[in-house]
Amino acid sequence: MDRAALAEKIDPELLQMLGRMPRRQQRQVLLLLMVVDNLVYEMMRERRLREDTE
Amino acid sequence: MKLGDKIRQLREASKLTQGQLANASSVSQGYLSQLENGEVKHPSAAVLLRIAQAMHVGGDELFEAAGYATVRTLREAYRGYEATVEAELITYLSGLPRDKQRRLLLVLEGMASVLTSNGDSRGDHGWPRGRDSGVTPRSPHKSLEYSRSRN
Repeated sequence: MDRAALAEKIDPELLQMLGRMPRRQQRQVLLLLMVVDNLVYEMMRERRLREDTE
Repeated sequence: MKLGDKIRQLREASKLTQGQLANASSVSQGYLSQLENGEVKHPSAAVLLRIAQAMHVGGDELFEAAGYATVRTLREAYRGYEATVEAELITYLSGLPRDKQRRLLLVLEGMASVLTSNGDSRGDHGWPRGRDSGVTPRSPHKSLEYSRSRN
């Protein structure tokens, strides 16, 4: 799928806000999202492990 | 091209008189004349669609001339964003459901608002002052162009 088609799946206001940011900040947003994603994954995994042992 | 000129051009190309087009599109000839002369600024989409159908042309040209968003204009806007937003970020965000995208927008707006507001007992970033009390750091988020609100 090309980038324009992917962009159409994104909320226009969010895209507009990101479009106003410099590239460096956009990359930081991506990094932040990936870190949060990883954190949530770790927390879920830990909770599942805890539930299994209980 | 202005809407009135566009309608006139298409009508003449279709070899229709104002009366014929008015009849075929169920509008009064007076109204059609006002449209062509630019005296009606914001005609309804329904009227424009009837006029376009009567001339056997697509509605997009008339809609765009009247300032309505069409699939084509939205696509162009998206293409503009696509060029200015990081490709990886677009890929990541497109995989998120819309409700999560909206929540992310709120989080980012909230962060920008906190980081750029001038609180009374807080530093320039909105966080409590620490060792650097008295030093006003330059916010790296000025480029977000959010108006700084002073409480």
